[in-house]
Amino acid sequence: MHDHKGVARPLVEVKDLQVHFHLVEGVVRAVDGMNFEIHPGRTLGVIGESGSGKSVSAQSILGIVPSPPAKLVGGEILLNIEDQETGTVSSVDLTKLPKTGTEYRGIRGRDIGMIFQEPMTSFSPVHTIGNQIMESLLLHTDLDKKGARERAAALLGHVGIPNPHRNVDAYPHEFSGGMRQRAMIAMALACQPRLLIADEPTTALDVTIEAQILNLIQELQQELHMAILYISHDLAVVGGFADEIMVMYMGMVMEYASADDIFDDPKHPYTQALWRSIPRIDGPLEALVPITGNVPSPFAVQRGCPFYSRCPQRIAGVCDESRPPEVEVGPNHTARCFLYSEDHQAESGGATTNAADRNQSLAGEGGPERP
Amino acid sequence: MTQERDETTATPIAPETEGRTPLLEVRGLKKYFPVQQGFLRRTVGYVKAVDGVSFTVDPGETLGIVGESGCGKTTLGRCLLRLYKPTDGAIQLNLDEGSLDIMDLRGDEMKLFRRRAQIIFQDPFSSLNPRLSILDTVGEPLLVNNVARGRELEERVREVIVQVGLRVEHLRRFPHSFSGGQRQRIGIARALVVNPKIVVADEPVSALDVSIQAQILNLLERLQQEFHLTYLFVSHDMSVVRYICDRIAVMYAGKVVELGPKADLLAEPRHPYTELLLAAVPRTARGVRGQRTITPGEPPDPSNLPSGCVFRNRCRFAQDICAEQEPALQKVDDNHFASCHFADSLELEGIRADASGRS
Amino acid sequence: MSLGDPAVRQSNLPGPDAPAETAVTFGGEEVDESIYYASQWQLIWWRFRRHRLAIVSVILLALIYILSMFSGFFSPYSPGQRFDQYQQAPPMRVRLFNDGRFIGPHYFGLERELDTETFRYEFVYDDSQVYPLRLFVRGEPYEFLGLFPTDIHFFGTPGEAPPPLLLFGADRLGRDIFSRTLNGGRISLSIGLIGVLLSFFLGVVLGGISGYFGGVVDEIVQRMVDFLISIPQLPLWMALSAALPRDWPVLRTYFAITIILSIVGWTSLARVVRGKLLSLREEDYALAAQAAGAGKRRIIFKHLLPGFTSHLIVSITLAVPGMILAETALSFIGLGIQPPAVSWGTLLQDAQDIVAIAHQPWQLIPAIFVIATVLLFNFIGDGLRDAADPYSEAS
Repeated sequence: MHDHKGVARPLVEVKDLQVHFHLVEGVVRAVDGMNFEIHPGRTLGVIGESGSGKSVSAQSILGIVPSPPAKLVGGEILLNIEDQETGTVSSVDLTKLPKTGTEYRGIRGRDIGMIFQEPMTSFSPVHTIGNQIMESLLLHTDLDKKGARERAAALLGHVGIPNPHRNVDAYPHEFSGGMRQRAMIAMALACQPRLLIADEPTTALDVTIEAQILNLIQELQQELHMAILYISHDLAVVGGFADEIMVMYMGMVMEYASADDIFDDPKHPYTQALWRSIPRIDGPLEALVPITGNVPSPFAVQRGCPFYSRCPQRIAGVCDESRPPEVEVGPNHTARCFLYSEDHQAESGGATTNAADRNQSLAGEGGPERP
Repeated sequence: MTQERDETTATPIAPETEGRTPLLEVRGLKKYFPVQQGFLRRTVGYVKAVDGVSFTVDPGETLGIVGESGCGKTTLGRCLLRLYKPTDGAIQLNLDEGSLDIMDLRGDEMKLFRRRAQIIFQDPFSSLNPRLSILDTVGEPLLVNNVARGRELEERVREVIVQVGLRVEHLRRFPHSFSGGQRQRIGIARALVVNPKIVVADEPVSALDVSIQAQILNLLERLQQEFHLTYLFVSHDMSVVRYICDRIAVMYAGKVVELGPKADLLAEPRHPYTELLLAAVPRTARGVRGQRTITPGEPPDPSNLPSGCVFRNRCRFAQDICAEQEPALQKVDDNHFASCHFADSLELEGIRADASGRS
Repeated sequence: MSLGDPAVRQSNLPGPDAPAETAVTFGGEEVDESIYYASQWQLIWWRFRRHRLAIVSVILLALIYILSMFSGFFSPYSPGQRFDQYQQAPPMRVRLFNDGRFIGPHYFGLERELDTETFRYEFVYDDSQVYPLRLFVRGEPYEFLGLFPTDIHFFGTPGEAPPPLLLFGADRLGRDIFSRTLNGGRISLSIGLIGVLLSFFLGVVLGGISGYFGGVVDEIVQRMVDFLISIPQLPLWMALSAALPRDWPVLRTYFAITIILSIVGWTSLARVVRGKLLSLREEDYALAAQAAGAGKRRIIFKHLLPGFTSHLIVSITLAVPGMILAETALSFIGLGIQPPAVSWGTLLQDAQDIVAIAHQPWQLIPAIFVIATVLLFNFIGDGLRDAADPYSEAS
């Protein structure tokens, strides 16, 4: 559905993915009808608040969603891997694979690498960094122990860790936060994966270290021609890093477009509202316009749009009644909103966007307005 | 009084306040945490979390304290509130009721100080006792300082609960029934219930979802105007500080390396570290989006600081003198101070704000 | 109508400019409001209530405790009463039907016959006379809870000198094992509770001092704990209880044993308390209370202690069976409670002999009570632990 000129087949195709969590309190639609694809060498950014389902979608690709309570209700995740020699493409539907089987284990770590937010908890504290990198190498490649150790040291050097031959024997706690994240990247890239999933990899880091780490990831991407799925809550960071951006809210992809479009021409009221509410380093110094209200309870059964109760442009009787459609609002640009659907455009005289609602009395912090 | 200060300290760090008394005066504040080892807890060294910090805060202003993790900004805030006992230095709080020497508070002075200086915490989950209802949590400062009790206390709590945008019906609820943003409002109510003069806000929005951050920031601003509050806004996030602060102090390895009015400091930083910090934040404006400068290196270990200038091993302008001599915080412009040997000669890049606003 | 028109945006739901909290926080869905007002204890109780195994365990354990506490009332005979001709008699059946006719609960007496081949006594029912069972029958006098003398028993046989009903059989002196089991539970079960309370007191005080003051005090207490933990428990118990004078009265021995058990048992609780205090002291809300102006005492008692009483209760619940087992073990090897006082340990002492177990397996019935009690305590402890975690999903 998202046409990329000149590119044969995307590496990952996710079609109508639905993941539900069955908890005592009710059913949470963690991922609700998600579509996207990632091409080799490209970066897809996923933006969302806590509970938006951004991490669950990545975990679904890795097949590590805790189940129970999670249940894959529908959709497919295709991993298309081209054989370098023959040029033939083999396609696997990851949702059909047994999650703990050898086939999935082979894909995790070899074809898909991953980096998480907290590198301390991702490393085992009782093994050296080198051993943990070697483990993946020994599992997925035919290197012997000595070769794997050499390779691990080379990788550590490659991600900018000083004295790699000495630090290959270091324990995770001996590294600083930035160094651990570098080691984590070295581990994720040990087998030169085709897809790198990065789930808030820099959230625990300082801004100067974050810049270093993101720069490193980008360099390695060019070198290895990897596809990257980059998950973050920080719009400014994702904006500079991703080619395409997916904005998620309560399990739904609200808007999907190129990074330029998401920044310069956002269509969905949620994206627009986010833009008005976040402080930016180079934004105008006028008062921020907060999004009012709170994120609804994930257990609440939503018939209509999940953003309805907070949306400045909601259409009563429409948006709260049925699920908003995914509308093509431009080339490679979709928004899940009634404002752009054919039926309602006629009625409302076209989709007016941010200029009009700027003037709305949204000022204030969302608390009661005082005279 | 101002002149007297000029004589006693090498660096007058006050904004030029002719005849006005600052609300808070901090001079040479130090907080060293001992590093202990062995059975008898012998002290083998010190972590210099805050190392000789001086500044003043005027009534009604917001002073931002920014820096990376481990730079001592949180420790500084906690020392000012006497949650930690400072190792050395002088802190004075000038109230209508008289001046308080924060380093040496006794009996009633402590009670007065706790009513006039308050704190808002970063984590809205761990900063509320899960076993106390909203009424008990917000009412605690009133109760323990003998300000009010019983019906009177409840009245006051109701009042402040409404002011922070919560509903009085929620008074007897427990924290677990609130979202992160609502909990942060409760934390703000607890700070404001005793009518403080100065509030230390320690990363008050960092733990909140992006769509909630602006709500809290605007709430803080409104409350400041309404109650003439003075904020010490501790944050790692330059973008947030830029919105809410009047002046900014940049901390690095336990020291204030630059202090100045927001506009000056952001547009024309005078310390290389400030430049680095600003350059690392990704830009969002059209054309420069995603641009950020990558500088190698990490902050030094606070228990083992380099000689001379603490920033020199990451500094692109470092000279021999930087290793030999520690630069003092010196005046570089009106109200603008920087601790760099070359503060007057460096050409540093600041932030060019998108003046036109978004399309 | 354009979208900028406020009328379009108007809806029955609170508008965007309404206070944040009135904007249907939960998507308009009806949520049971009571949970918002529930205190931590209520939440724990609600979660515990859902733990079926734990609830059943609580009921069964309460039953065992009540039976033991009022053992004089519930047991038909006194624990020391001997029945001639009934030595090592097997458990006897209670019948409801006689000759196919329902006549209410009754039983037959036993006839002892000597097997001339094995030279062992065999017991056969003597069905010539029916002995009916009745509730609230007068029998052996006893003191109700040590308060007043009475001779009313829960059940028994009316009439002059009827043959005994031995539900669990008899021991080698012809005493009713059922009565003795209930009676023995008084010591075994209470020693668990009192012992744990004592070690709880020691643990909380020493752990609290250790965790609160830290530094050298902490170091000393912790090394003390290390030392006590490093001593093998059984020899330590044995040494201590062997030092007790043999001629002490039962009550004094009982307390001495309790104290011995607590001296060994407080260490783990002290560790729990210390660890919890250390971690809670770092919680922001403790700091917030300090910033609010609360004193040290208020911070400890209002903020820190309530923060882990639930954890303490769990620890205590899980520590009780250890105490019960310890008493049983000590009495079993003959160093704890001494006969004629009865505890589950002394009862099992009778079952030490392999020949006795082979021929009179009912001597092991008290062991079932020990096992059941320990299991029930553990089930309850597990349930409490799950319920007490404040950050597990609220129901």
